[in-house]
Amino acid sequence: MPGRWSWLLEEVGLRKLIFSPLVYRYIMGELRGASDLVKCALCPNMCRHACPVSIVDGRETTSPSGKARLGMLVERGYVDLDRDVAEAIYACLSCEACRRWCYFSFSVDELLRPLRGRSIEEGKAPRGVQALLSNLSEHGYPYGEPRSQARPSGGGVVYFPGCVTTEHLPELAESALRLLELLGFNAQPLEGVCCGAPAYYAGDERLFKRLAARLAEALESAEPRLVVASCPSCVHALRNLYPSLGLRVPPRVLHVAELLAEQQQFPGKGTSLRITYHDPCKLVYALGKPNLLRELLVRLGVSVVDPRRRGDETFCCGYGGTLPFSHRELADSIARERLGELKEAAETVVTACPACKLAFTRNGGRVLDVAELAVSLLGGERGG
Amino acid sequence: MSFRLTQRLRREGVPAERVSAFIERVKPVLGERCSTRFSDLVSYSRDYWPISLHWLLKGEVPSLPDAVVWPESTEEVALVVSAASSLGIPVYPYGGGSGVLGGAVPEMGGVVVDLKRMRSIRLYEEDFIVEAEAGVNGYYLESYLNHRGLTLGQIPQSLYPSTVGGWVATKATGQFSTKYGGIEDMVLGLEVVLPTGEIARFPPHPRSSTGPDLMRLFIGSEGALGIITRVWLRVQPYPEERILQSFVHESFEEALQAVRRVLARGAKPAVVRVYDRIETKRHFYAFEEAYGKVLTIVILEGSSEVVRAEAGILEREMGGKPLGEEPVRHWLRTRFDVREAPEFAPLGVVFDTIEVAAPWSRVVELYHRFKEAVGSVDGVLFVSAHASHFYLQGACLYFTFAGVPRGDPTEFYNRVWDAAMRATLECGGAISHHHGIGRQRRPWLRDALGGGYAVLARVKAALDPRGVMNPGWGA
Repeated sequence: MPGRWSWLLEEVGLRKLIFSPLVYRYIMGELRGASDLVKCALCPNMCRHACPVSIVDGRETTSPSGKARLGMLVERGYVDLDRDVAEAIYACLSCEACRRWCYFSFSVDELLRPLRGRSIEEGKAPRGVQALLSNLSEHGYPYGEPRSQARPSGGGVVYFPGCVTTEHLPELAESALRLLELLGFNAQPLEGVCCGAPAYYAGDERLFKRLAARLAEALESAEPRLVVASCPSCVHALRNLYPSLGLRVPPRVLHVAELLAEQQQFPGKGTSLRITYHDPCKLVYALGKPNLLRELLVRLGVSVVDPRRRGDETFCCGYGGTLPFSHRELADSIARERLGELKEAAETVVTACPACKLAFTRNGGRVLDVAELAVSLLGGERGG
Repeated sequence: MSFRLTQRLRREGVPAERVSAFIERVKPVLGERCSTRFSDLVSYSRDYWPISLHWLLKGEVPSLPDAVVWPESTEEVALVVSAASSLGIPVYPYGGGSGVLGGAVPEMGGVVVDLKRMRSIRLYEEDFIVEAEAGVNGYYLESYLNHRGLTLGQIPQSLYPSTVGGWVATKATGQFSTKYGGIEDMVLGLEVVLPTGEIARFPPHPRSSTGPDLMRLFIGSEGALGIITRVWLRVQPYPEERILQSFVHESFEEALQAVRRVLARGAKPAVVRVYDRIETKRHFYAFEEAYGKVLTIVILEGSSEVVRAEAGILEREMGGKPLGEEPVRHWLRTRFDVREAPEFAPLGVVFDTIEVAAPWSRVVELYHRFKEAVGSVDGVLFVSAHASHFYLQGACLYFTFAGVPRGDPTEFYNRVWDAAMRATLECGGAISHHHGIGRQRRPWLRDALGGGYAVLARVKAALDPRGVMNPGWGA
C-alpha cells in the first residue's frame, strides 16, 4: 500500500526531490525536522476554541500558538525573555485540552515548561508563581505553613485530600472520609504534604522532584494498600508522573470518583434534584476518564442535565495549573464564564476536583463535590 | 525590553506623539485593554499569510503595530475608531488571525483592534436567527447552535481559530457551502463602526427592498470600510440524516461533469469535493481503488425525505465507481489537519493554496492553464487541485503549490502568484473564491474588478476620507 509520501516521490520524481535534500531526507525519515515548539508556533491556532485562556482572555499573545511563537522567538534569540513574555507563557491552565485537538498531539503546556523553568532561574516568573514556589520550597505546601500535618501509619487505606482541599475546603475532606467509611474503608488522612504538581506545572523540575520524593517517602512509610485522593491532579502526579521519576508509589491510587465507580451497586435514596456536572480537565485528559462523572451521576440516580461542553470537550474551571497564582483575575473570569454555561443547564453543579469547586464557589456557584453528593445520597447505608 | 526582529513591510511610522495622544484618549475607558507591551505588539504583527512563516523563522515580522486594543462593546470600538480617525492613525480590525493573505497585517503601523472580547450570542429560536458579536469563535458558535438542535452550516477549515466577524469581513465560505452557501448567504443583518466612528446598524429581515443592499458593501471589505461589530445570521435545523458517498472517476473533467449533472437535477449536497489525481494520492493514499485516479466525496444532509431523494439523484448521475462511506469518514477525520505547513516551512519549502472560481464553460480550461502556468515557474515541485465549492453555474478550484526556491523565497512566492493570477484572469475566472484580497492579491485587484475598481475607490474615499481603515488593503 502507498505510504504518506508515496505521492510526492511519484508526482515530483526522485530527481527533483534529490535537489531538495531537506525535503527528501524528511520524507525518507532521515531528518526529524523542526522542533515541536517551532511546529506549534507555525500553526494557525487550531486548538484556540478549546483553550479557556485564549477564549476568555481574547489575546493573540496568550493564544496557544501565540505563546509558542513567543517561545520560539525567545529560543532563537530574537526576543528577550522579559517579564511580559514570561507573563504570557504562564497564561496557561495546564489543562491539555489543546492536545485533544492537535494532529501532532502537542500540549502547549508541555512545550513551554522548559521556558517557564528558565524564567524562574532568571527571576522573570510572575510574582504569584514566585511566591507559590517559595512556599513549596520552604514548607512543602503552596500556601505557607500547612494547617494540618496528619500522617497515617500501619498499612490500610490512605485518604489524600490534596492541598486545595486542606487549605480551602476542609468540609470536602470530611465528606470524603465519611464516604470512605460508608463504603467500608477505614481510611486515615495524609495532609500537609504537596504532591508537587504545582511546581511541575510552574516549570520548576528540581523542586517537583524534591516534593515528589518527600510524598513518596511519606507514603512508603505508611505502606497503604490503597490511596484515595480527591484531586485528579494529585492522582495524575502519583499515578503517571512519579513512575517517570523512578519513584515507588502505592499499588493502587484512585480518585474518589474512580473508587465510587468500582462499587457494584448504590443502595442510596436517589434524588429528583436536577443537577448538571463539570468534568475536571485532569480527570478527562490526564486520567483519560471523559465520561466517568456523568456515568457515576446516572448510577447514583440523579436527574442529570448535560452542559454544553462536557466529556472530552470540557472547559477548564480556570483554577488549573498555576493560573490562579499567576493570573488570578483571568482565572476568576474563566470560572465565571464556565459557571454561566453550567447554569444554563442547572443551578446545582457537581464536580470531582477541589480546584473546580473552589473556582466556582468563589465566583458565586452552588457546587458539590461528587463525594459530598454521594454521602448525601447514600445516607449511611453501605455500598456493596 | 529588547528585540532583534526586523519589520518586513512597514513603510512609514506613526509619530510617537500621535500614538500617545490616542492612548490618552482611550486609556481612561479601556485601561489594561489598551496595550503597547512588546509581547502584544509582536503577537499582532502578522496573520497566517504563508510567506510570513518563512519570515518569522528568520526573525522577521510583517509589521509591528503601535498599540493593540481589546474593546468589549460596539461603543468602545466607536471610541477607538473615532480617536484614531481624528488623529489620522491607521486602524486594523483583527479576529482569529487565520487569514492567509496578510489582510490583518498592520502594514503602516497604528492600532490593531482585536474583537475577540466581544463574544455574546443571542438566539431568536422562532425566527431561526442568531445574533453574534464579531469576536465569537467559530466552533463556539457552531457547538452552541448544535446543542440547541440547530446549525449555521458554516464550517471553514479555520472553524477552530476564526471568528464570526472575520468570516463576514473576508466573505468566507465553508466546507458545507454547496448546500448552505457562503457567509454572504447567511448574513441577514449587520452592525458596523464606520471609519469616522459612527455606528451603522442594518437590522435583520427575512428580506427587504428598502433601497440598495448597503449591508453587502461591508461583506468582504476586510476592514477597509469599517469594523463589523455584530451580525445576525440565519440558522437551520440540525440535519436529521446524513448520507456519505464517494466515487472514483478516470479524469477530473469526468468527475466535474458528473457533479454538474447532479446539481442540474436539483440535488444540493452539503459537501462535494473532487480531488485531482495528485490530491487523491496525497489525501487518500490508503484507498487503493482510488489511488492514481480522481476521487469525489459527497455528504448529503438535511431532512430524511429530501436527503434520500438526493441520494437517488446521486446514484443515477454520478457515474464512475462508488467507493462507499469510508473515504468520506477519512476526510471528516482529517479535514482540520494542517500539519504540512509547520512541517515543511522550516525545511525551506514555500507553499500556498490559491482558490479561484470559474463557470462550467471555463473551469477545465482554468484548471489546465493554471497548472501549466504555475508549474513552469522555476523551483515549483508540484501543483495540484481539488474542486470544493459548487454552484449551478460553476465551481471553485482550490490549488496547492509547493516549491523549493534557489533564491529569495519571497521573490519565488510572488512569481508563482503572478503566474497564477494571470492565468485566472486570462480564463475569465474570479481571482479569489473565499480567501479574499488581503495584501498578497492587491496587485491584481484592479484588473479583476475592471471598471468596478473606481466604484470601490469612490466608496472607500466617501466612507473613509482620512484613509485610516486598514491602509494598504487593496491599494
